[in-house]
Formats: sequence, C-alpha cells, structure tokens
Amino acid sequence: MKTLAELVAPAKSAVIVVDVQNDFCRPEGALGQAGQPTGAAMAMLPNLQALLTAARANGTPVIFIQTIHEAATDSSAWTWRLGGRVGNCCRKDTWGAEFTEVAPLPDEPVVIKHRYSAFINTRLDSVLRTLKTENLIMTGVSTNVCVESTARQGFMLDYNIVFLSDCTAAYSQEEHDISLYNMRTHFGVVATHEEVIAAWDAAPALTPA
Amino acid sequence: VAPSTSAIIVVDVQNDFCEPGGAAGKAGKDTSAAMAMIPTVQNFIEAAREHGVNVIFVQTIHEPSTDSDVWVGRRKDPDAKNCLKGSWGAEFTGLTPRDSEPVVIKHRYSAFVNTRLDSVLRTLNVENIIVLGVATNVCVESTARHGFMLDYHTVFVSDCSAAYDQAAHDMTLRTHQKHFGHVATSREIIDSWAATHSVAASA
Repeated sequence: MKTLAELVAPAKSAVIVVDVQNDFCRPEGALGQAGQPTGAAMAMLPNLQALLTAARANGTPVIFIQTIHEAATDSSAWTWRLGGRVGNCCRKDTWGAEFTEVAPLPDEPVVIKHRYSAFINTRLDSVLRTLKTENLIMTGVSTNVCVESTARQGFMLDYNIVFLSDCTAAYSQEEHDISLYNMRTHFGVVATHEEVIAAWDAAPALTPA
Repeated sequence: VAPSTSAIIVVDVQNDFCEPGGAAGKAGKDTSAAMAMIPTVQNFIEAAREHGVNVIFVQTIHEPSTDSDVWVGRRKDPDAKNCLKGSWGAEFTGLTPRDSEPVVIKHRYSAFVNTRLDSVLRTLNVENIIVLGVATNVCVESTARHGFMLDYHTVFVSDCSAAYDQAAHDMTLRTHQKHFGHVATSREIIDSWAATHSVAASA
C-alpha cells in the first residue's frame, strides 16, 4: 500500500469538497428544518477550512461539488425515494444551495451534481483526468450518503481514496462511524486533516516550486 | 416490484465470497451468514422465475487486465486474490443461471462500473431492480447505490444478502431504506408478486 504522503502528494491529488451547502449544514437549511441534527456538519467546518488553506498554500487542487436540483433532474426514481420529504433541498438559485463558510477561488472548479455521487451525470471524471489527479481527498456532508457514494465510485474508477474523518459529517455518529469502517476496510485510507497537513509539511519536495 | 418491469440482481454469490474454503473464508472472514442464506436465495430465484421476473446474475472475475494499481493497492497483501478467471472460487455457490438468464461479469464492487448491466436492463425495459447477494455493505450496496442514481427504483432484499459483520449488514439496510429505496424480505416481495398476479387474473 502507498504511504499517506504519496496518497496526498499535491501534484497528483485533489481535495473534493462535497455538498457543504446551507441546506445540508445549517440548522436553518432544509435538512435542519426537517429535524436532522446539523451540529456535526457545522462543527467540522473549521477543520475543513484549515485543510483548504493548507491545500491552497501547497498547490493541491480543490474541487467543489454543489448539489443543484431542478425539475429537469427530478426523475421518478429520485423523487420517489423520500416521498418529497426534502423536495425543497438545494433548489436552483436558492440560499439553501449556497456554500456554507467555504468558497471556491476563481480558478477552482465547481462541479454541479443532482444525485448523491459526484461522478453520476457530471464532468468530475473529465476534470480530474485533465488535472492528472490520481488521489481523492474526500471531505463534506453527509459522510454516509454523498461523500461515501462519491468515494465508492471514485475508487472503482481507479482513484485512490483518502477519506477525512474530521472533515466529514453525518446526521448521526453511528452512520458516520460505519461509513468510516466501510471506507477503511474496502475502499481506501481514513485520516484526519492534521495527518494530511503533516504529510504535506513533511514532504516539501513534492510541493511544486 | 411489478414482474414485467423488474429484475432481481444476484450479486457475487460465488465460492470465494461464500464458502468457508473460498478466498474470503480462508482470509478469516466469517462466511456463515452467506452460507446460511443460500437456501433463501434459491427459493427467491425460483419464485422470480415462476412470476416472470427477470433474473440477472452478476459474477466477479479478476484477471491481470483488470487489476489496476489502485484496485490491487487497496489491500495490504497485493497477492490476496479472489475470483480468478476459470477458478473454482469464481463459480456460483448453489446457483445455476438458466440459458436465458444474463450473466454480467464485473471486476469492481459495483455491477454498473465498466459492465453491460445498464444496457441489459434498458433492453429488458427494467425500471425496478431487486438487489441481493454478498457482501451486503460492499458489492451489493455499491450496486444498489449506483443503480438508484441511474434512476432505477431499488429494493434491497434483507434476508438474501449477507455480510461478514452483522453491524455492517444492519447499517447498509438502514442507509438504503433512509436514502436509496426500499428494504424488504424475500417473503414480502414474493407475496407482492402473487398479489399482482391475482389482481391481473381477476381483471
């Protein structure tokens, strides 16, 4: 197996920020209003911000994934799953769809998705191939749904997965923990943001001049 | 789960994943849940055939041409192989596809990645997929997640799936029910097929 330093090497890695949006993170958002506890999501944001600051300093690409729902993507199978319970989530051009306490820089790609996995019906694979990315550093919400679905598919498309335990959040600790178990056991490596930053700091030779 | 627009997808019910003498069993995984559910799976497949539901077998086959660095690198032991082409471990456990039933070969966890499964399902006009097999939280869950996101209504068969860890099995079913589709027992599904038929007969 590769070392963590190899798996986060700036020239071959990208930080993937999944669905850090008001409807998923803020208590005033759609899920919070539907009774889902968003405390873990809000609490991990400082870790994510520290990770993004370090990534930008050493040249690791950061890619933002943004869920946008609209009538053209509300298929029968998709809307059937919850009986319309969160049908007001991340609608196009709403406050709920905006990012929460993180913001893409002008040169950072934003990939719009309308399913859980960021690879389904999106340009993410194309963007990653263009950047020559081999390793995905996975962050965002919710751990066991959109982040895990994206990590599962990314691994099966031959990307190495580094899944960050403290830059992801779910709506229960149990769901978060089992997701990390699945990732660690079958899909990749689980690490904290401090471990990733330490690996970056310890390998300055890998950082572009 | 209406029969004509549904298919059951039997994932990785193969010796290396189910038999104690297979690769997973030899590596110390507890395959007892997988072995214990085989009669239930056999019964469910027979019921699907009787009700005219499409039956699709998914078979994992690994060979050098699909062993990418990332794939092989997931394990600490890169020599820990399973389901090699032509091996006993790759054969189905207690199940035999009929000539008319498609077998879809895969080489990753999800049966939709780099396979013809989506094409087969579209050709059969399938709208609902009923997933089962091993391991609940790895190949069956990856396939169920992927199928749902490709716009198939997805039903997870709780008593025809097995993992090597009960907590992982249970959480997969919970996540599926909450975010991806329905979870049902084989008996509930068979009863609904029977009810559909009696409605059709009385119409």
